[in-house]
Amino acid sequence: MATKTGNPIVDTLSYLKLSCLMLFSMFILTILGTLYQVDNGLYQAKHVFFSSWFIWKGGVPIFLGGLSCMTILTINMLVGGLIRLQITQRNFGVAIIHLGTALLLGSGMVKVLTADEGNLTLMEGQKADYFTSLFKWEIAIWEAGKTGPGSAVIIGDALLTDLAGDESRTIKSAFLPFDLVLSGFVRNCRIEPKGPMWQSEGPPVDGYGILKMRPNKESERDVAGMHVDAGGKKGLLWGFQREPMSVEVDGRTFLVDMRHERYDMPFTIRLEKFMKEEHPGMTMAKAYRSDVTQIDAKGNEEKIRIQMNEPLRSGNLVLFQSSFGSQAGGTYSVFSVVDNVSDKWPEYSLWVVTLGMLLTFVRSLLKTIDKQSKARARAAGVSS
Amino acid sequence: MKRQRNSVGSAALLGIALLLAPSCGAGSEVELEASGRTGSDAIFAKVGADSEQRFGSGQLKEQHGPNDGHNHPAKSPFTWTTPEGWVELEPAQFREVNMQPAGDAELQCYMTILGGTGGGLPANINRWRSQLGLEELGAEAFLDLPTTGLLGGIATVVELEGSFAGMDGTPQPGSTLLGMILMTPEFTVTLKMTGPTEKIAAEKENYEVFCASLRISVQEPAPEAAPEPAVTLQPEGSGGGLTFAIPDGWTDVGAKSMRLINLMATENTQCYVIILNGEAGGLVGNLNRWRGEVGLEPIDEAGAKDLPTLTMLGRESNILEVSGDYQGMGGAGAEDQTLLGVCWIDAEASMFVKMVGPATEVAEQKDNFISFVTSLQN
Repeated sequence: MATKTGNPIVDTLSYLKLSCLMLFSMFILTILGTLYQVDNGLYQAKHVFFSSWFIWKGGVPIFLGGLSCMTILTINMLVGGLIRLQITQRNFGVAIIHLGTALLLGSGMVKVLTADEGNLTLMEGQKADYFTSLFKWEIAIWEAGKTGPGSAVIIGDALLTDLAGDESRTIKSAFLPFDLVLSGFVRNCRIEPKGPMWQSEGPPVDGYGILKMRPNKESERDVAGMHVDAGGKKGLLWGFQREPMSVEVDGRTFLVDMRHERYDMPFTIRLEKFMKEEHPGMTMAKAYRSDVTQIDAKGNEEKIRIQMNEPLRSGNLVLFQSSFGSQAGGTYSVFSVVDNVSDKWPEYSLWVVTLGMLLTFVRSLLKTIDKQSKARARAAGVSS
Repeated sequence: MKRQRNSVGSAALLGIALLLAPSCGAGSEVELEASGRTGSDAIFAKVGADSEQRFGSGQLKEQHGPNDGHNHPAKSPFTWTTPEGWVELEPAQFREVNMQPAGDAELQCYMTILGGTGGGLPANINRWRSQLGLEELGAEAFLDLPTTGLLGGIATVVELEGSFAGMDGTPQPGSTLLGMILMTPEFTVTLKMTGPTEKIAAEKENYEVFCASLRISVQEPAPEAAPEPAVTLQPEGSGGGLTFAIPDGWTDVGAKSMRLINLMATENTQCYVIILNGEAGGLVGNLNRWRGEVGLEPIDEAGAKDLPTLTMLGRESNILEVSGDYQGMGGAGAEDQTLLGVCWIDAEASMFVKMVGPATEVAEQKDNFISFVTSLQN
C-alpha cells in the first residue's frame, strides 16, 4: 500500500484516483474519437483526440487530449510505483510491472511526438533513398539548375498548418535573396480560375483562387494549398501543382514547390522484383512480396525479401509491404515506412512487465506452497 | 487541510504546465538554412511556368479545334475521337477531358488526372461507390475487378448502379456510373460517365469507343518558317514525364521496367531512355560500362572529357559511339554491333539514352538518334 510522502506534488501525482481519472478520461476519448471518426476519418480523429494535448473548441481547451492523459498516467505510474510505493521484497514485482507499463505508455508518446510515417512506391528496377508522408506537406525552395544535398530550403508541415486565415509567417534564409511570407493555409482545396460563383480563400492571384474543400474522410486524399509572397511576388502554392512557382531575383531564378514531406533514409532501396502469388484458378492475391536490395552509404548491397508480416527493419526504420499495382511499364510495389526511435520499446516494456508478473506470481506461488506445506505438516503432527 | 490545498495547487501547476507546453509553437518569423535537397523531380521542373501551366485551366477547348468527330492535333496532351452526338465541354480543373454524351445534360463523362496515387485504387473506387450509395468493397474484392487498356496502361473497370449523389448532394435513384482508373506511381487517371441507367446503357458503346480512342500527345503543326529538319519526325511521344519527337520509321513499343521511353529504330536496333536516382555510378563508370558491353577497354576521366557533347534537356551531355561484339545485361550477345550512348550525371538524378543494333543500321540511324535526343523535353 502506498503511503503519503509529505511532498504534495509527489502525493498528488501518485494518487490511485488520478490513475482512475486518467483511465476514465481515455475511455471517454475513445468513445468521442470513434464517433468523430465516422464523419471525419481516422487521421483527423487521431489528430484531434489522441495525438493532441487538449481538445479545443472555439480556441478554448475543453477536455484533456490523449497525450495529456498518457503523460499524466505515465508519471502517475512511475511516481506511484517507484517512489511512493516504498518498494520492499514483497511488492518488488509490482514495482517492476509499474515500470514496464510506464515504458509502454512512454513509447507510445515518443512515437506520437517523433516518428515519421509515409510510403515508398517503386517500379521494378527503381531505387530511392527517401520516403514520402501521406498527410504532411512541405515547401521546398531551390535555385533552378542547382541540385543535391544542401541545395534547398525546406519549410516543414509544422510551420505551415497553423497559418489558416490571416495568420502569416515570414521565412528568412541566408540561402535566399528574398523573404518568403506564407499565409492562408487550407488543408484541402483546389486552385481554380476565379469565377463569380464562388469565393476564394484570400485574394485571387493571376486570375486563380483557392477553392476551399471539405476535408476528406481519407485524409491522404486532401490536397493543401496556401498563399505565398516571395520577395514581393505573390503566388499560390498547391500540393498537386504541375510545376513550381518561379521567382526571379537579381538575375537568379528560384523555384518554390509544395509537396508531401520527404524523409531521408540512411540507405537506398532498389526494387529488384515484385511477386504476387494467386489463389489457384483465381486472380485474387494469396500473398505478395518484394525482393529488394538495400544499399548502404558505403555502397554495400544486401538482398532482402519484404513480405506480409516480414518487414525490413534497419535502425529505427521499418518498411512494410503494403500494396502494389501495375502500369504499362511494369509492376510497382508500395511500402509503408515508419521511422520510429521507439519501435522496439513496446516489446521491451512487455518483457519488463512479464518479469514483474513472474516475480509477483512466483513469490505468491512459493508462499502458497510453503503455507500448504506447513499446514500439511501441522495436520500430520496432529494426527500422529 | 493544508495538504489538500497543496495538492490542489500542485494539480493546478501541472495543468498550467500542460497548457503552456503545446503553446510554445513557431514564431511569426523563422530563420532556416538550406539543409534539404531538391529531389530528382526538381531537375525536370519547368522554369517560368505561368499559372495556367501550374494549375491547368479551362482554355484547352480552343486548342482542340472543331468538334468534327476526328482526332485534333493540338497543344493538349490528349486526343480522342468524339462519338457521334457527343458534345465537348469546356475542360475544367479535375476534368482534363470533359464531354456531354449524346448532348444530354443528364449525362456527363470526363477524365481526371491526379498526381501520385490519388489516394489509391480502393479509395477511389469506394468513393465512387459511396456516391451511388453502395457499401465499400473489402480489400480483396479489388483484385477481382476487370481491367482494360487505357492510354497505353492497364486500367481497372467498374460499373455501378445506385442512387447517385451529385455535386449538390441530391440523390438521383436509378443512376449508373461507368468508370476506369489507371494507376501509376506518378499519376492517376480516372475516367467516368454518369447518368440515368437507361441513358447510360444506350451510350455505353460510344463510351467504350471514346475510351479506346484516347491518346497522349500528337505533334504540333510545324511553324511555316521552320527550317527543314535533318530527318522526318512523326507525332510526338511521351514517357517518364518527357515528350519527344519520334523519327520516321521508328516505333514506340512502350515503357518497360527501367526504360521510361522504349523505341525500336529498326527491327534489330533498339533505343531507350533510363533515368536513375543519384549519380548512378558516375560518368566514367557508365561510359566504361557501355564500352565494356562491346568488349573495349575502359577510359579514364581525361578520355571521357575528350568525348563530343550535345545538349539534352538543357544539359551538356557526352556522346559515346563504340562498336564491337555486343554483350548486354540480358546476357545474349550479337556480333558487329554499334552502341550509341548519350548521358549526363547529376547528384540527384542521371539520364541515359542508348541505341544499340547492327553497325550498319546504327550508322544509318545516327542522325535520327541525335534528332530524337535533342527533341526530348520536359
